[in-house]
Amino acid sequence: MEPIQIQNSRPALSLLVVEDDKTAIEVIRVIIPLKFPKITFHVAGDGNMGLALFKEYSPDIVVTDINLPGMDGIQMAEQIKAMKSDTRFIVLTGYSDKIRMDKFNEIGVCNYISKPLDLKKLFTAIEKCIEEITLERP
Amino acid sequence: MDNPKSAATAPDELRRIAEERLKAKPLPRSEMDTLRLLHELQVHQIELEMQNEELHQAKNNAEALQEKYTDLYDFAPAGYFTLDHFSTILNVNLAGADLLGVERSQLIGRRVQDFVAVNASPAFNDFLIKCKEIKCNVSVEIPLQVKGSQPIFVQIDAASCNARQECFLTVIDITDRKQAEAALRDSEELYRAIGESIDYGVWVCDPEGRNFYASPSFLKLVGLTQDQCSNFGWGDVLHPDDSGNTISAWKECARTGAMWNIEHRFYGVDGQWHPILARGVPVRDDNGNIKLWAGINLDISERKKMEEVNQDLLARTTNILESITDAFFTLDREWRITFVNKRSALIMHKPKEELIGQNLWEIFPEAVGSIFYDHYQKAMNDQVTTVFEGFYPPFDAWYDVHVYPFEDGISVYFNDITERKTLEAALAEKRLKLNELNKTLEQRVETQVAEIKHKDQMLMRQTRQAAMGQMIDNIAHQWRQPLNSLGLTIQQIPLYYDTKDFNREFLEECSDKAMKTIQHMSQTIDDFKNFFNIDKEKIDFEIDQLIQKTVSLVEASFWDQHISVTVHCEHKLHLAGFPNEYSQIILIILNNARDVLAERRNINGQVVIKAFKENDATVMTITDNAGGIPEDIIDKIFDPYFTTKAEDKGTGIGLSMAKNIIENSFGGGLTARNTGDGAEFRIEV
Repeated sequence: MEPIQIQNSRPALSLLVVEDDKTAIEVIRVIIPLKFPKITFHVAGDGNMGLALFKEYSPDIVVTDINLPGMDGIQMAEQIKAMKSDTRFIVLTGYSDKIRMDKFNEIGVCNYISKPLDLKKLFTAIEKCIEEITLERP
Repeated sequence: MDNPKSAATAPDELRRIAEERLKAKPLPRSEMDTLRLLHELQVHQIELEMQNEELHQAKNNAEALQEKYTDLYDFAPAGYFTLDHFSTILNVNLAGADLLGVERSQLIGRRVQDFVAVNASPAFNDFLIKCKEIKCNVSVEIPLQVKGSQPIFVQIDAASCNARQECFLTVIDITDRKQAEAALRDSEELYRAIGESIDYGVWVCDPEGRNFYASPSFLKLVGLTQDQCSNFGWGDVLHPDDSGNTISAWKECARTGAMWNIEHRFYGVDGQWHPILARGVPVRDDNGNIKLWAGINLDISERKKMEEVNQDLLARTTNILESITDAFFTLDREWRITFVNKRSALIMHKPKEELIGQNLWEIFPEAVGSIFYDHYQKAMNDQVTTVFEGFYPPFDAWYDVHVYPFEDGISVYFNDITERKTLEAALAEKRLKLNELNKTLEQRVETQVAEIKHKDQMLMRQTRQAAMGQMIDNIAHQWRQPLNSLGLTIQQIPLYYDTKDFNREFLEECSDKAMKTIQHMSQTIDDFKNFFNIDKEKIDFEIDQLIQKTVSLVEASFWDQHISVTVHCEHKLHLAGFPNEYSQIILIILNNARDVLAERRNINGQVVIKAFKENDATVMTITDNAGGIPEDIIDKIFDPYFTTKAEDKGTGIGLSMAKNIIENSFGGGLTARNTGDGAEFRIEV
């Protein structure tokens, strides 16, 4: 696995993953640093924790499941958007989440990756976000 | 009447007396005296001779007379008896002997009592005593018992002779008179009895019609005495409407001597008018002159009442016959119409007046020889009831006819049934068509049955599909997470390949993790597979376990929707039956609750399952907080194909199936109600 090289020395991008599936978290927790070694990386198990971490670290990219215990992905996304509107979202969706995706569209999320999660798609999505952020930032 | 013995002694006695008287006289003293005495004696002698001759003459006369009287006595038609003081018969004439049937010579010295009938003896003795005491003529009528014959009735008149202490009886045979009297009395009694047995008796009037006898029963009825009734007094108690006519008619009848026959009303002491039929005939003497009128009064109130009743009945019957919708007429034995009601006249197209009294076959000659003719003849001749339907071409009509015989003819009820016949014809035609249709019916029924079968199959398929759909949905939910995990486990292998951590241990770890997940998924499949197995037999199952197992099948989807499922189950609660079926019911209700909660986006969706004993029933309630079932559909939710869900979401079969299962397999019930927060489904077994 080739780590992506960050060209300049500007503050590192940060990534928040909100996921309640322990197996998935175990894998992601190992894989993301391997793939994106320079990205600050946080993992939350539910919506409330995700929101708390967001407030603390203000990550640029949020990868979230929709179904979460407590506050779900949508509610969390709404609040995050309210706090920091240029936050990038990558939403992991299951079959039964179709209805809720409309809600994300309203919020302004355009990255969806359906479950079972294909890591290549996730990496591509994260890379795309990094690129966009890099381009936006002078 | 001289006794011969006394007649012989009288002359001797006379001479002796005469000689004694002569001795007392002095004898003559001179010749002169002697001559004078001689002359005197000679004259006396002649005188005596003359006297003697006269005496002879007188004696002869007397003897002739005696003979004559003896004959009179002996041959008198009445019996004469001379009785001595002791009632012994001293003398009896021929008629008397004849009456007693005994020779005269043998009667002398016997007593009359011996011939008196035993029962009349005391009366006869009284009679004799009376005769002796009163010393005047007495009379008695008594029966005599004469040997060898019927008793004869005699009238005995007696006269007594004081001097001789004798009694003379005159006995007359009055048997014939007595018999006649008895016969008359009998007949009088008979007629009186007859008269009295008739209400109100008999009456007798003089030739001019003046009443002089009326039976007590009549007098009692009208409260009159015979005196008041006599003459024309009975007219006073006649009904005012009858009195004038009756009196004048009676006088006319008495004048002409015709038979009397009239009905009139008398005013009774009971305050009622009594209809009485009086009938009478004149009784004529040998010359044909009316001696009297005799007749009877007949109480005809009953008859009058009956007449009234009959008239009333007749009127009513006529009314009924007139008003019945059936046409009705009667025929006498000569085929004359004796009665015809309005309806009948209408159908016969003739006024009643032209029908009554007419011969049926003359008025309707076309009917002769027709079915009507045959049946009427049969009814009349054989006195049998006949019923038939006949067509009468002149009127172009069908009739339903009932013919009933009676004593004097037949009565006919009939109705125009042309319309019915037309309908019947039409019906027959229709029936024919129907038969045609029937032939194809079987085919159509088959088609229909096939359609129904098809529908049933569809329903079954839909039911199965719905169940399958839900199962797949549930499996999808259950598998999503493990599939994701499995995917990630596999994908991390190549990512690790270039790192120092990639080694055998890592691969084994991945393999174990993957297999664990696969086992879990396999278990899920088995659970569902078992769940959809059809229970072979009833078993006793623990409800708590069953609920937990059922909930575990669907919890993933509830989890997805953030719906909590809480189970409160009484410990060791058991139920006998098919557990999978019971489980299906829970599943159906849980799925509904989940879908409704999801649809209404309830944030804190909650489903509470409770199972408990209530009285003898095992109850399970499944309650949600989705807001409840709209009241306008709460009665329909158990109907098949009733659904509130979008077409792709539900078939409307679930709840009806659940209800069927609980009713048919468990003999229980499934009901739904709103709790306020949401719906509560109650399964009671």
